[in-house]
Amino acid sequence: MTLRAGNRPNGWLGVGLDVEQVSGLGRFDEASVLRAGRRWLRPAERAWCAAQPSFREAMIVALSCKEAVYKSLPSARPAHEIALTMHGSAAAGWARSRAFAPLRIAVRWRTSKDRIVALAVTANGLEARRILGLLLRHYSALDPDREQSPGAWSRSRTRGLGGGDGDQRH
Amino acid sequence: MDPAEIAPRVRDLLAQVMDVPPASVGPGFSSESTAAWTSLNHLMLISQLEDEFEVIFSNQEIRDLISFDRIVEAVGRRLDPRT
Repeated sequence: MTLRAGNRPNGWLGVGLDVEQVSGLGRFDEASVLRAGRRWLRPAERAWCAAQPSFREAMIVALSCKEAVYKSLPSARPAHEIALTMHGSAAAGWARSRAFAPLRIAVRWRTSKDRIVALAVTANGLEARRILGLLLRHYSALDPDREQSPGAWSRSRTRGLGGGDGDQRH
Repeated sequence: MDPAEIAPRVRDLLAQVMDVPPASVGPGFSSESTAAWTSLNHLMLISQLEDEFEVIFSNQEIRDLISFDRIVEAVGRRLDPRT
């Protein structure tokens, strides 16, 4: 799924949304997953994945974030050129990138039992984070747990960035 | 390497990555015709192809390799010693 906003008089505003199945890498053998990790993830991103309980699930999160960013950029860039600084856990977190300065990129993700939803905003200056926050506050449709718990993005936001797992929700 | 040798290997890889029967893969098989050709599977496909044929695709090729026919052609071009 792609949401994109076009050019604005004072610069670019792009919104990208990606949804992946948590089990998306389940049928691939270990060597294939590691090979793809080396090809598409930067060293710091691989280190973040390796620090998570499941490398596979974390890798899908990282690739989903990159896909969301890809959709938000004004021109196509391959996954390995989209350098993200990842924070939080595979369950929920946020990422930033200044790889395409002066554009700034802000990403948030959440994982439900079977789906990962990543939302990216690319904008000039400091607007990316602000717009991402606005989107998450107002559009519960972006929440993978929407059917069970409307507004989980917002709750997650109020307990601070960086996530933790679902048990920490208020 | 002859295209006739490349095509079966590409077919097997596509079937494996997209999780579809090999018989369903052939000319005309593309991201347009296959719901399983997701962005995640596309990345897995490219890294598998690069390993299988010992090539590295350019950024442009990564974007363009969205059908069986294009992949066979691109691999053939890469492996052609005249290019």
